[in-house]
Amino acid sequence: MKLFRMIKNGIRDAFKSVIRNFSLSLASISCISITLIVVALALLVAFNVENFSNKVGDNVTVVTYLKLGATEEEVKEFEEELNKIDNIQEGWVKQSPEDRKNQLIEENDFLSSVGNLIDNENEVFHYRYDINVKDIKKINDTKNELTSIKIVDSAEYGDETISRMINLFDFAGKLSIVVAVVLMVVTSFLIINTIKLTIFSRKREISIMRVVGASNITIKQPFIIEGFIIGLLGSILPVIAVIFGYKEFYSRLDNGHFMTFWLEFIEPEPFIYLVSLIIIATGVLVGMFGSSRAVRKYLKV
Amino acid sequence: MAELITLNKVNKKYKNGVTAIHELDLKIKKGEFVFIIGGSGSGKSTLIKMLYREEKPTKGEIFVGGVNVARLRNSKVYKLRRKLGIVFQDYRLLPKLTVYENVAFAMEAIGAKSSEIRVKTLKALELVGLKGKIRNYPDELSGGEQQRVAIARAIVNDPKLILCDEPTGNLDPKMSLEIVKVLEQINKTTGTTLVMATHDEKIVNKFKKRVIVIKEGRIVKDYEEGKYDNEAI
Repeated sequence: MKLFRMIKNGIRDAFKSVIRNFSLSLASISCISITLIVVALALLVAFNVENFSNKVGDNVTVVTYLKLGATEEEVKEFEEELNKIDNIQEGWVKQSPEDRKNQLIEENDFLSSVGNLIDNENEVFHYRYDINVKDIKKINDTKNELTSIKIVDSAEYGDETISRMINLFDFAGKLSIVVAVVLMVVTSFLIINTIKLTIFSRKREISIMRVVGASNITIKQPFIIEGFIIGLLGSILPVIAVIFGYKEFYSRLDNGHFMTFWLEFIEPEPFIYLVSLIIIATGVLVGMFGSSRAVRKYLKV
Repeated sequence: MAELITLNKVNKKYKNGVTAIHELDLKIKKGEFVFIIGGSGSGKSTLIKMLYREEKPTKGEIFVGGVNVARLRNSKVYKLRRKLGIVFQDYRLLPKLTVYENVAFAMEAIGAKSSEIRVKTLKALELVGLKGKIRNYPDELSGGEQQRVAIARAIVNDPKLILCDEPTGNLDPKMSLEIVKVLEQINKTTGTTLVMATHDEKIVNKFKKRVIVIKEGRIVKDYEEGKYDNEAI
């Protein structure tokens, strides 16, 4: 009960001081809002890039041919090497020269007659492996790893533009995270200053609280709550922007797709609520981080 | 009667090199009313500040109600202060709060229940004779009345000890007398120990309490029922 009363008083005092230092509080709130909008963009991009990558990863195959006349031993060695590569999904598909000959024969009558003429398939057909990767962003590295294996003749994957675009999105996502972190630091400083002003404006009150025996937590708590409130108020606008903005954006797409089949965006619900939650949590944490720094620095007890 | 305050060989040297208290030994019993007198810079305020742990002694031990205040950690100081009531020369009231709120503030700050706050605040204000002014703001009161609000705030948590640092320093003789009468009444009716630093000659002479004379950080005289000793100062 006592704790509850103290928290209640802390919340009351925090709201009072947000109103009392309204202009500086508003500056902090606006700064946190801008930061969180960037954070939101970074999150939306990052989640969607992840989504594209997963979708594309299942559709893009690295077709790998071994050199002609590979012996069974060499094939075995290659498969062992293959299993050592991290980025490769299990369940790759293997076609031996014989399989490929049979495939050719089954294709049509003409090819069947040609196929039947071949009796040295090992010298005509390559071993073929169809390999899917786990992370499309690293597909080029994986291709290079495959090519570097001695017995491999060639390793190719279909559309290079796909991986280029994904890498571009990935870069944009990472860049926005860096911008967001820088903005968070700037916002923290602004919040530290806001709370510092509150501490100074309540100096008399704090000194009396100390004299009458208020505990350190009781004295510090309203300032931490103030940081929390600033963070919370600052996240309102970004959350609205995410919910309505992303819904609007999604509704303009062709059933969630953009340009090609694989550029499929995540459905707004429940995705936007998850992003909103992360934004609120970030806002509140930045606010409380700033205020606790200010309390530690300017409120020595 | 048992001692409430014991000081053993207490020294206080400030960072600027000034030694305010020298090898000071002192015992104050429960329920006593003690005047601490001395000239400006004699060390009386430092002594009071050390008793509520605003200042830490450089050497020596200070026991207040069995607690060694000299060794008390910063984070535990509030526990000591809850057993004390402190009255300052400048009242230290919050101008934006009413008389009632100023007194209740001391209880709110330590997390008391609102029903308890109401009863005790009104009782404390009655004791200092300000029940009729609970809705007034400090700047609507005279200096003496403001100091009585501060006294009400000091006694509202039922302290064992009241420390007063020149409580009549800003008041005229008539009001000063009133204030000390209130303090004496509290001392008599509740048995609260009272230590008051002052250089108000008339007050000290009128009330005939224990008088401790401090000069250059040392106790030079300790009278059982003393007068203001101008020569000792």
